[in-house]
Parts: sequence; C-alpha cells; structure tokens
Amino acid sequence: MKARLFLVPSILLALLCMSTAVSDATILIKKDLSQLAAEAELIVIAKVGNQSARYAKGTRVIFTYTDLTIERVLKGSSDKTMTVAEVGGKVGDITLHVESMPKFREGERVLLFIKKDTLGQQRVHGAIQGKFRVVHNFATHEDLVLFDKGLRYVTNNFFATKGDKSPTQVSLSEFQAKVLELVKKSPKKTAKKGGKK
Amino acid sequence: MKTLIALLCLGLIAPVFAAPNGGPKGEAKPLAHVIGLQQSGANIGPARFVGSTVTFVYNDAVNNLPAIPNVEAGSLVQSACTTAAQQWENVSAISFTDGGTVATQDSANDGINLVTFINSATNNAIVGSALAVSLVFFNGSLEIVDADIIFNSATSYTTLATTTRFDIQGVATHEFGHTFGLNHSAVASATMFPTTSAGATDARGISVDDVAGINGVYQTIPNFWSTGIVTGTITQSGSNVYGAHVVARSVVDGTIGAAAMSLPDGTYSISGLAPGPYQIYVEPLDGPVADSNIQSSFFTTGKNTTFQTTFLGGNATPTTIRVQAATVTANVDVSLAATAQTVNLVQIGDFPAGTGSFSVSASGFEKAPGDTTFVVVVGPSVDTFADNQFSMVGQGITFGPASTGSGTIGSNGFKIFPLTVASNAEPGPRDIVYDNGSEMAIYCGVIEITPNPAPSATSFTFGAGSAGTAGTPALSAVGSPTINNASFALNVSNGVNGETAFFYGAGQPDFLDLGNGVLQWVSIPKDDLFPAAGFNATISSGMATLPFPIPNLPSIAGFRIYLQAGLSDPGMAGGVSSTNCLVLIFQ
Ligand SMILES: [Zn+2]
Repeated sequence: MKARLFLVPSILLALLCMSTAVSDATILIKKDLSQLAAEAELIVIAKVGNQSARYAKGTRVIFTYTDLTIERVLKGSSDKTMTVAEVGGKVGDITLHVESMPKFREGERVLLFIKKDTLGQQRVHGAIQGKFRVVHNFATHEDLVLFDKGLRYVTNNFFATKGDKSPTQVSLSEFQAKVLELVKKSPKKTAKKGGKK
Repeated sequence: MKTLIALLCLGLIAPVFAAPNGGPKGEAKPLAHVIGLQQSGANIGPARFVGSTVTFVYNDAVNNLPAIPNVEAGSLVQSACTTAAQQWENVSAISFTDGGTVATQDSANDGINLVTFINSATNNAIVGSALAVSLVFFNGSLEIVDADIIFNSATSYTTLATTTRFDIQGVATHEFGHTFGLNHSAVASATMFPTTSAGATDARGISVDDVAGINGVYQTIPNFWSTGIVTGTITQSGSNVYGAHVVARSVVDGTIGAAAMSLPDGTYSISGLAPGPYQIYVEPLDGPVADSNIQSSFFTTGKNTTFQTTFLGGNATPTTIRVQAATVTANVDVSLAATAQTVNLVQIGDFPAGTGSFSVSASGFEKAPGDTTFVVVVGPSVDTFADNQFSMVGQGITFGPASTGSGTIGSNGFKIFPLTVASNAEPGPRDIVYDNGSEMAIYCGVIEITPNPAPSATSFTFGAGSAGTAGTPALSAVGSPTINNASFALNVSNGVNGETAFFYGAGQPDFLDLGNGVLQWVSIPKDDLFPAAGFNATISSGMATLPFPIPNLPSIAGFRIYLQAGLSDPGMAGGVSSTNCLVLIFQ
C-alpha cells in the first residue's frame, strides 16, 4: 500500500531544512564561496592576457596556459604576472575538450580562486565554480562581479541580505569584503605547527 | 461544407490494426540535447568517432579493487561501465566494444580510449573538482582520435547502490555521453543533466530524453525517417538570442518531446521529435543548468539569460505546431521581451513518506506509473507563492492542488505537493510549472515517468474539439480497448440530432488547422484512404455510438491508435464541428 496525503506536521518542517544539504552534489564537486575561500591558496583579481596551449610536461594531455596581470591579491602572494593552466585546448591539428572547465578570453577581468594541481600548475579551484567575471558599469562607475545564474549555490548564502535572495551580481567591493571575511574565518592550515612561540 | 467533411473522414480505422506504424511508446519517443558542437578551423559540428565504432579499455585496477580504495569492495566496475556505454549503443548507430583491461594508468592522447580510476598526478590534475571527467581529443576534421574517462580517486564510488556513494554506472553513462558527442542538457531528468547525487541510480539507464541527442550526432536512418525536426530563430529586440533553451512539449501527453539550445546566431534545431502536435517554449539557462556548464571549442559563455520563459504564441494561449516524420517544420521563431526572469525553480525533492525529513537536489527523478509521492519544489520565495500557481504537466498526473507543507531552505523557499502518477501515465519527462499569470517558471522535464512494465489496455484524450450548435462535441471510449473486447465502442456527445458523426483514426497524432476552429489531431496517411461507410453513426439525443470491437489479435498489444470524429452541423460555418482526440492503447 502506498502512503497518501499525510500532512507534514509543522514541527517537522523545521527539521527538514537540516537534511537538505545531504545530496545535491554535482558532476562537479560543489564548492560554495566559503569553501573556495578556505581551499584556494591564492585569490586574485586579474586581467586576462595571452593564451597558449601545449602538452603539459610529462603528459600527453593538452593544457591551455593563460597569462594574468594581477591587480589585487586577496589571499596568498603573487608576482605582478602569473599563468594559470586549464585542461583542454588546441595543439597543431588536435583539440582537447573537457566539460565544465573554465575558459578565458583575452582582455577579460576576472576574480579567481587558485590552487596548485598535482602537476604543480596553478589552476582555477573548483573548475567553473572558481572563476568570476568582473565588469565595469559605466553608468554607476562601479565594478561588478557577475554570478553565473546556474551556479547560484556558490554565492547564494553570502549575499542574501539586500532583499534579493539570490542576486546575480554584486559590487566588487562587497564581494571582496565577503571573500576577505571568509578567508579570515577559514581554518588555518596546520602545517606551521610549532613555528613561533 | 462537404469538402471539409470529406477531409475529416479520410481516415480509416481497420488498416491501423494491420499495419501499426507507431510502436509501443518508449522506443519511438526520442528527445534531444545540446549536441556538443566543437570547432576546429572552419569546421563546426559534434566531434565523432570515425565510422561510429569505438573501443574503450579499462585500467586493470577495475579488477583489483584494493588498488582503487575509493571504490566499494564488491563493486563490478568494468561491467557497470560497459553497461553504461551500451545504453548509448542500444539507441544509436554507435557500436561499442569493451576492449578489456590494460596496464595504462593515465589519461593521454595515445590512441587508447581509457577508463581509469587511478590516483596519479596527471589524472588528479585533470579531474580536479569534478566527480569524473571525459576527455575528447579530436582532429581538424572533428574526428575523435582519443577519448578517456577519469573517475576522481578522491570520490567514494560504488556499483552497489550504496546511498552515501556515487553510482559508477550513472556517472559513466553521463561521461560516455560526453565522449559520444553530447553536451549538457537542461532537461532535469536527463542523464546529461550536469548534476547528480550520491546514491542516485536514476542516471544508469539513459532517459528517453537522451536518445535524440545521440541520434543527432550519430544519425540512424530509421530515426531520421520516423522523426521530425523543428527549426527557427530566437530574437530579442531584433537581436539574435544565444543560449536560449528551446523546448518542444507534446500536446498529446505533456511529455517533453525534445529540446535544444539556440546558437550564437539565434537559430535552433530540435531534432528527433516523434510526429504529432507540439508547443514550443523558450526559457533562460538561469539554473540549475549554468551558462558555464555548456562550453566547448565552439560554445562560449555570455549566453543571454535576460528574458522570461515564453511560449510560442504567448503564455496564455500557446500556438500548436505540427511535426511530421522526415520533415523540417521551419521558421518557428520566437521573439522575447527584454525582461529578466524573477521567479525560478531550482531544486526538487522526491519525498515518498511525506513526513519526516527529505532531501532535495537540482536534478530530477523518476516515478513509475501507479506511484504516489510528495514533491518538494524549491526556489526563491516559493514558500510565499499560492498553491494554485503550481502544476505538473500532462496526462495521467494528479499534482496538488493543495500543498501539504512549506518552509525555507537557506535562501530558498519550498512547498510540498502530493503527486499521484496514474497507472496509464505516458512515459517521458514532465515539467513542473509555476505560473502567476504574469510570469512563468518551468522546471523542464524534472520528473520522468518511466514506462509501465505491465501496461494494461487504456485510453485517454487530448486536444480541443470545435464548438457546434449543441456545444463542443466530445469523443470518449465505452469500455476498455482490451484485445478481443467485442463490446468496445466509441461515443460522441454534444451532437445535433439527426446529423451524422464520422469517425476516423490513424497510428500517429497530427495537427492541422482546418479553419472555422476545426483542428485535426490524427495523422491520416493517403495509404489509409477508406470509404467512410461503416465508420459513421447518426446522432440522436445528442449522442452517436459506434461499435468498435477490438479484434482478437495478440500482435496489436502495445499499439495505439488516435481517433477523432467530425460531426455534420448545418448551423456552423463550414457545416461541421469536431471532437477532441481519443487515444486507445491495446493490451
Ligand atoms: Zn557532464
């Protein structure tokens, strides 16, 4: 026999909220902003420069290497310029395509969460989840961070204060402040145990 | 008007039994995806395996599970993956071979199509934050020269349906879909939908929604001849709209027939549509499928998501279009207002108990005919919306009408609605719709009704009739279309006494506007021309009944016919009124 039309006792409704984080992973392992902030070794605002593709050293896998000019570092340290690698790209006649990897366009301004991969290359952390486009609103002279409407879970719980429960853009200053706050809150690595007294 | 009557009466019932051309549903209901268009130089198209034949091999750790400790002991990895690939082989021109195991550990452009679970620097660098990835190396002619699938060695996997682990077969089906040339789908019950959940096994078999996508890449002749294509251009204020999700929904049963994404020039092409009547709607890729989920060497980000869900013909009275086999229905253009969507449905939960705790996710789920459950619908402010603004589309579905609970989850609200799936519910993905009269949000294909493994004879109706002097005539079944039911009959109501009802039928639905409000819902091929004698009945007391004994032919089990009646009616312009369509499914 199938159950039918049981009313949900309202007391239970409060409990329901707690159970909802269980599933809803994605083909990408979901990262929200606090996880990105905690796990990234480097968080930068940068301008995208040249791109070139080659087989990564010691592999037969094509990566595209994108030069970045760093405007601001929110976590970690970086030179004025750096290069991020992304799997995929074209070498000679051969193109490699991999789903859900971030892509860059020359001239684009971005805010990136970066972490070294197991080949020692700097990579956007969380694939497409760790790349944000930054644009300038010429009307308001404000820099804005654009959210992908399909990846609302990354930002949803961090910018829900202004009436709009899931904004698709916020000002760069608000976004930076939130990232810095999350970096501060994130658990420190234990690697430096026993360093200073 | 005699000519109109004649046109309506061209159909024939008897030959349909002898030569059914619509098979049991499920095999003839292909649906579409975003085909993973790639670009190399001037060539644009899906990357394909040469000759459609493809051999994958497995790193030998699949038979030595201690070497891949993220996989649950007892899992049958190789057979799960091969079964996954065979799902695609079974519905397309692809010929898949399980090439056995090899010692090769790392993904590489080495001419070896490899499935690997190995924890290595190269594999880990590629897979990064994904559960699994597929790599496709293709040449300037868009021929795949190497394809690999890497499962993340840090993710817990199983083939044993353990709820805390990800299902290898489901993930493999998705990844093989990528290697065979498909991009992500915004149909939430599709295997190519970009999210999945731990413990979910729904993606193991490909959804009917995945079939047309693969057939769009590896065309099979039967698929081409049995299905139709809809093309058009999506515009907004005169500009082409890139990245709109264009969906064809069947008027027959409300299932999603197929979907596609508009290209940078605003054009779209929905292929693999079973013939029949459809409505077309356009929705923004505003989640759960992301702009950045659909990228390739051809597809860029920056898709237009600033518009509201819009039906061809308008949301209040959508236009019905006709799709015919081996035919392109062209110029199905939709122009969008530049108004951003403000309502959105982003997650769904299957909550059979209806009490206690539930979980929700972005991807849809399956329900079988006869199932009852509670559906948790999640989205911004959903808890504050009126119950009667929510619906689930199509035949055989009882959804709501009242919610049984509501609340908030993080920044979203939710409502819980009862759902009953009738035992005769037609298989296929169904939409959940929020419509407040000024704006609509559609959770595209979020619940997929699976085929009934033990179907019984049934009938259902769809489509509008045209008003006559005595009201709008209705065609209904008297009894059940069970094989050898000698007393089965067809009944027409709301006719004009003394006038005649003409019955006609075909093996496929169709759509033609015959003027004066008369819509033809059945496909009447020329080969089926038949004198109307014997398929008409005189109307008395507003009714006409046609005895329609079901022959004792076991071979017609599972086949269906589409029936309609035209009624002479001198009081109407055109001299005729017409009924809805009645679908009979024999068992
Ligand atoms: Zn995918």
